[in-house]
Amino acid sequence: MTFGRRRRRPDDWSTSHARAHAALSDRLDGVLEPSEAGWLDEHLAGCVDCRRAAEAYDAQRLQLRAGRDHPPLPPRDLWARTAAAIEHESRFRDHRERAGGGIGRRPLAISSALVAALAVTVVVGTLISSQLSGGGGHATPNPSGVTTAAGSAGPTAQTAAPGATPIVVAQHVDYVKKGLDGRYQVTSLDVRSVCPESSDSCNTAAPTPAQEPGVQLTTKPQTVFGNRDRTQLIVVNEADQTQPASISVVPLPSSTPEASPPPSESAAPTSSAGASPTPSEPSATPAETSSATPSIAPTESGGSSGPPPSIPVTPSSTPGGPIEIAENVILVGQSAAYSPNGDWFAFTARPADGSAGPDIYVWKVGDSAARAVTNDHRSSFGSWLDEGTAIGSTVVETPGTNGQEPDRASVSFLIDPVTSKQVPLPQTGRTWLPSVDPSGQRAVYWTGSLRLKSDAPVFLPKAGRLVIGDWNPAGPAASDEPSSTPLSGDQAVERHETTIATGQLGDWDARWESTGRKLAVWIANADDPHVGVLSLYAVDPFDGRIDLKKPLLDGTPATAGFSISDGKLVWAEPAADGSGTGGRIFVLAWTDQGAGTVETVQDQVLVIR
Amino acid sequence: MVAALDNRIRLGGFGGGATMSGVWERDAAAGFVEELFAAHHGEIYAYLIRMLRDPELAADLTQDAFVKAYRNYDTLEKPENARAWLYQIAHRVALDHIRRQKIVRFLPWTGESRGAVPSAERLVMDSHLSADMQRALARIPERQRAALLLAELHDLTGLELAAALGVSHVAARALLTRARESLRQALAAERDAEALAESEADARAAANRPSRGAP
Repeated sequence: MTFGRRRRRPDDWSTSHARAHAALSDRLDGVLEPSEAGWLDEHLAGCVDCRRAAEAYDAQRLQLRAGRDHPPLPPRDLWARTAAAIEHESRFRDHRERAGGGIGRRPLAISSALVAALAVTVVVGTLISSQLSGGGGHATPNPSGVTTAAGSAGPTAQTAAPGATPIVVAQHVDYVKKGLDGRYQVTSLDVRSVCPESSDSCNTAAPTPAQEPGVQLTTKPQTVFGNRDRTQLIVVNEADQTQPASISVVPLPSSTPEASPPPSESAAPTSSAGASPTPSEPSATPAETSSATPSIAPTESGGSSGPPPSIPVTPSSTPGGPIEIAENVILVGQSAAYSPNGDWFAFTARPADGSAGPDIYVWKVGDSAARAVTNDHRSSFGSWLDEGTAIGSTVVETPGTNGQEPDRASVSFLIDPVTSKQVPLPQTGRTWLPSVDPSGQRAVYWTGSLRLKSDAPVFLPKAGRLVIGDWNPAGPAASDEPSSTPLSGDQAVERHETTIATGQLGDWDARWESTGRKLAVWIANADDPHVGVLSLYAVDPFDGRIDLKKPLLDGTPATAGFSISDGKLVWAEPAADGSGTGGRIFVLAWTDQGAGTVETVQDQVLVIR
Repeated sequence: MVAALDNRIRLGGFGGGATMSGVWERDAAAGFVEELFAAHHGEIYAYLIRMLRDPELAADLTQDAFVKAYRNYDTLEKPENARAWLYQIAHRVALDHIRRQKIVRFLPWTGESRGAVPSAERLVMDSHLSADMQRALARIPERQRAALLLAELHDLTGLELAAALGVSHVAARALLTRARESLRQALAAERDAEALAESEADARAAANRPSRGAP
């Protein structure tokens, strides 16, 4: 090694020993000046410590250089991964140059790879603008988020150049968007094609505003769930000065999203009231007797010029109106879900007054209220195993010694939503909140200890791992006749657990595509439970393994609450102000032919899960 | 990896789409980086694994380093400096990662069961450094560790080392001097810790041994 020629001076050193150490180092590198070498020899002759240092330097050099002969070997697929990332970068750069640098909202330094997806999204997003403003001559903004984008702060408008063949996806996306009147409107979008994820651009059809469900929410919901048939929403509201915390079911007007043609200009609704173009359900009839006042109101009952009237909840007398299925409860966790066929909805909740811990509730579609199926105040819903079987987990406490906090772990059980009968699953070991795949073979769950949240009777992970593991290990099938034999041996080995994340997680949400071919996992940030990162993984259909060398989406920022269904993943990016309401909806749609992404423009949006 | 952790985002793996060759033909930078990768990816990976002691992470960051090289191709003034320039990028990637490390750590998912962190045996095997040297290197400051590794194991010249570390050659010399002394002390501490552990084990064994000879 040869350094430049800046000669060290004797007065550079605080002590002669420090000077000797520097000279020893320079001697190893072959840059010691002859005059300094003479001084060093003299010093070493009289300094035992520095002689030992010289010997140590020589020895550690030999020890280090022994590693030269056997350098570590990089993984074989490193070039493939790097080449793919560079290709993404290349396409993004091309697009950025064409767009005049108009993207700029997402720091490139974050990622080299998703930028390709962003390139696609911006192209599609701008197509929306150009189609609606230029092609249709429809100047009036309509209530959909897409149309509003046409004249607002969307990406720089441009025309997509001919390129790759678009991928036909035919997806329908519902989300909630804050309207100009301050209400939250259920908004729909038809995505018929996307540009291939690996192409620069293509002549894809723009997403089109779909037939509006015509439902507005007068207050900002905490979260919203939609059923498979798009016939109803479950709206979760937090308590405020005007209303108690509640969970309500809001029927949606009948719709036929798959068959609906793109709306013509004249058919586009222009009223912010969002009246359904084809109302097929009778208007909700306000009842006069009720003590509850839900915060939701179908727009059929409200005019465009004033706030929609409250619709008292009398479920039995207003079959077409909203139903409050739970009041004065707070939704706990992220796992609430409809059953596979959509006949049930299960969730975890606790009393809003903090008087007790969480229990599992189920609501059968058509019933007037949800029903608690546990009453130990320490149980949480994990997922549905099948249409008639839910999986829950309960916290088991072992008293701590010497006044220490109790040790808390969890065991899981099956529960029949009809009879509330529970069947313990000791053979699954220490598992909490398992999200089981549609085949019932694998699950994402927490394994480790739990803690009690300091300011509420809610359990959170303490120490352990979020893993994917076999749900049906050796032994009787968990879904048929659960074994009463506790899991023996090493759980991580027996269940082939693979760690997704470790540490003191705040919250997470793991959901499977109904085919079991994709798994999406959202994990909350440690400092803000409303915001986290979302990843999407492909599951090998043959052996159930995950090819994590090529995650489909890896750690993209997302607000709590995403939606995954066959062929699409929908999420909201965190708003710039840090609020839990997202700033933009992203749709990643895929088929066997490839994948692409579209996005809405910036707005206050909320994914319908 | 989370914002607090690591906001890397990756999208891919769906198959289909354009071929790589079409990209390379129209992109000289990509071609250059491809050559650079062929020549240096092994040593860059080796440097990162020695710095970070995590094979999967080292692979990820090697990929990042070459993507950054592609992105910043224009900043390379002289092709003959490419190696040092590449090390400089890798060094910054490594330091950036170390700075971003938070409590919650996301692990690469290989589809195979494995522990939360690589085992000591795996690290020794992967880095081909002795266990006590691994531990001692981990004890010293990152910049000093980088200087030592680049000088002793990666054979960078003085000017290359200065360029890779992003400092003057005088500062690089000073950093190496401090690094050698830090490593000497860290190795001594490792030996002391090992000796203490052995003596404690001997004491325990002696205490558990049945006494003989006394009536």
